[in-house]
Amino acid sequence: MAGTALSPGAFTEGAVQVGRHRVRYREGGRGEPLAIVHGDAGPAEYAAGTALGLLARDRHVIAFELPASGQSGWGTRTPGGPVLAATLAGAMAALGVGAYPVLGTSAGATVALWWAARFPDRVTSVVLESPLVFRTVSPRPAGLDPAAPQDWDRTAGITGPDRDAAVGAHLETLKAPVLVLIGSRDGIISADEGRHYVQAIPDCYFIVVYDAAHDLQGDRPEAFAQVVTDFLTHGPNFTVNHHSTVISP
Amino acid sequence: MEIGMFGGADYQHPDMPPGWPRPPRYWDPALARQALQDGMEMYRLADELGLDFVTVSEHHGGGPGLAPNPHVVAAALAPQLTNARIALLGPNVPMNNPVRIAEEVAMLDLLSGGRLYGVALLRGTPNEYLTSAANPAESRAAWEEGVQLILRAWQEPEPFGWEGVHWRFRTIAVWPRFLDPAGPRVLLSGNSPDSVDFAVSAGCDLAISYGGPEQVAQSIGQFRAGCAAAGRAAGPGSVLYRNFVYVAESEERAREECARYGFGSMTQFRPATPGAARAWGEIGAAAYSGPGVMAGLLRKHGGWGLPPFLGTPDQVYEAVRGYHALGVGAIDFSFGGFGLPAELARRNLQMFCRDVLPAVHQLPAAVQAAAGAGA
Repeated sequence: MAGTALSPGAFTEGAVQVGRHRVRYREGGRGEPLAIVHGDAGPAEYAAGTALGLLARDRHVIAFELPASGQSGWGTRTPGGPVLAATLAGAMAALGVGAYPVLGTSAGATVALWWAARFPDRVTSVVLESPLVFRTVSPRPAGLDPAAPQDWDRTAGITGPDRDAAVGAHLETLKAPVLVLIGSRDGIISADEGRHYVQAIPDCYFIVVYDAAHDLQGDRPEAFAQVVTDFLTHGPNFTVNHHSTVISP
Repeated sequence: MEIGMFGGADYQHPDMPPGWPRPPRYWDPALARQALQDGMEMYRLADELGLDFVTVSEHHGGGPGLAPNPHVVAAALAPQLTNARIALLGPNVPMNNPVRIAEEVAMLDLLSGGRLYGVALLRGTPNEYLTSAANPAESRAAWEEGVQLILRAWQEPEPFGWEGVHWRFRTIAVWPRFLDPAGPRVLLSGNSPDSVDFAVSAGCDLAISYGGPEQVAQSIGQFRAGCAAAGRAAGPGSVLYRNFVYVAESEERAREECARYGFGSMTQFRPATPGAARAWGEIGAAAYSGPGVMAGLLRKHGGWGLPPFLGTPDQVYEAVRGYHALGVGAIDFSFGGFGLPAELARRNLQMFCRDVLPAVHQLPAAVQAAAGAGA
């Protein structure tokens, strides 16, 4: 990666109408599009960190505010992953973007997977950051900070059951390559869960992000942006080193 | 209690000046063949005489011992041993590719029929950063990361990648796997308080080298307290210690023979040039300056003196018993090498195994319950 990160202030706010719902987003950067689905940290954090600014150096980042989060209303019930995915896919269509990769964080990773499953002709690749789809080790994480603003019931409403058979049925037919990133110090979801994605998804790559907890973008922004950029740039060939190892020419 | 032998090919040349690294121009093929033959004979003798394990280690620049890769020596040893297991003490993680270490240890497990005693994933002695591409100031962080990478590589059933601070691998799939799915016993350094804390957090056993009783007691106390807090059992069976030993018919004879050959003094491994001395000092200050056993050893500029396990069989047994009382469950002894003539090394080993080992084997090595083991 070259150049400096796009500052949070350089992202601009926008909104697009999808049916009865107004979907808010922030966007920044130029180049190939990248759709972002935030996690439990909530819309106040999305597109505000260094990592997305790094990604926006060479691509057009569109970070959505999940309907039913932040200032985006929905109704009395939290919509599930499939409905949220369909709404955001509609938003990308309304923005005139035809095909794109999707990056989902934590509970947002479930939305990203539903998005790829329901719209295979639009989603070219998927990045799952600290995903909660498989929760075999920590079904209801004891590592959650009681003082943190997470609402686990709401999160579970998006992610579905601990090993959701509904989304699981779609995984083996996913066409898009999937990158799964989990931190070595994650107290919400164990890095041991990564193997389940590799076993369930035909073209899946699991990476342990060392010395990072659940918030990979916050804990290791450069590392996060590097591996995501490599994956989005090279696809499955990101497993081959494209960076020069020459010390001095 | 278990006893092992830290062995290897002890290459010596009559004209070679003391100092490290050793100039390669002092290489003599005939001397090298003899050193290797003597070293392998000592390993076979240790096996025959009933030692529990034999040790290989990693050292560069010609010494101590010809062992740039401990796994190569272990592969040669595996088919020659009948009873003793092989301890890898150990590969130096920051100086190597951690994935390759994971692969080679697993291959050695297969080659030896599952007879690895354990593997110590180490950081390397400070001087050896002169001959490594690794930055010594980053070696602690790189070591901790490399250890965690290796442990995960051994347990991960699917290919995975590692986006580290010091290492990046996009596809890791370690083959072979271990014959026992639990994998090998892993030991980490207990030579500083930070290292002990890391061993506790990683769920590994402790390896302490060359420290005196007070330092060893401090490390073991800290280790047991940490394990107890983590709800993990830790007793003598979790702690390995390394040092020199020399047994003779009398204390006077033992002292005289050790002093004559500098056995146990480590004086051969002082910096070879003034520049190297400054570099050693910088490495020590930058990377090994914390308290603990290693810091104490680095301050011993004038040599380490005589082996702390020295004298008659009774005296050596009492010294061993003293360390056992501190919570040491296994000792990795140097019976030779470091310039000690091969015939004296053999006699030392034979006398120890005949007159000391039977009683030492009676000392319990079982892991005790963690509860109440905090000191």
